[in-house]
Amino acid sequence: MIGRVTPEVAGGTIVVSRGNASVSLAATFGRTEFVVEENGGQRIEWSDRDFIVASADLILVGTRATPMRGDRVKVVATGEVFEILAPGNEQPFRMADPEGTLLRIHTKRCPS
Amino acid sequence: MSAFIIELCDAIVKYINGAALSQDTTAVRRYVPKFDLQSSKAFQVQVVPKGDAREMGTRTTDAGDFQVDIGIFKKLSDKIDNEQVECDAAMEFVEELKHVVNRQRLSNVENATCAKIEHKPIYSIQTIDQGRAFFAVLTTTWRAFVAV
Repeated sequence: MIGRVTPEVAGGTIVVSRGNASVSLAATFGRTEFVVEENGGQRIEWSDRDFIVASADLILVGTRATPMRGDRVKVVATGEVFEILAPGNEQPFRMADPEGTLLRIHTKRCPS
Repeated sequence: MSAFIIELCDAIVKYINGAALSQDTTAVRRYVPKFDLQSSKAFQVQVVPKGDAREMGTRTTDAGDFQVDIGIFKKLSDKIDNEQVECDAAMEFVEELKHVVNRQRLSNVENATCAKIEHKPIYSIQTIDQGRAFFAVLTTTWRAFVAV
């Protein structure tokens, strides 16, 4: 129930796309962090954001899908584009509840 | 009197920006190199001073080895299936930059000559995996005689 209501108050509509396939769904916006990675004295900066979605809503080409590295997420209200990428050595998404009703998707902001 | 290594970095930036390269980029000099994942799909090239070692050369000059890092960064923006093709193109661009600076003599900065290029990391696996971005560093060593 909370999963269905929170997008209205703490999120919005997103479009998840993979190649030419895409789906529009409601999402709750999770944490947004600005990250600086040190790599041999050079710094790489990015913004992280998590999106929480109902797993049943993530349907691509008629099939229930799981988020994959490189999938794009567009926030409809702002036009911001994010790419699904795992932080560290984790998976690019994880279940947000024991039943897997909700998925927490990890992304990094990218050029649109 | 400005620092020789800074003059050298500026000359390298000017030289790279004046070179005919296959990819669209504008090199910049930085004290703190920062590459931004979200601002651009184009190649980002940053030139950073790294080392300055001098020893007695002639009565009036020191012989110096000056190290300058050239960082190359690109957000991979094509489809995930084309990641290898995009990385290959980025590697080719790094090779191109190597050819541009290798043995190059910069006449306006004490005839500094690029005597050594170290390409390390060849690319950052972590940056490709976790950021879908290509990142490599060329550490160049320039030999010059600097007035005492």
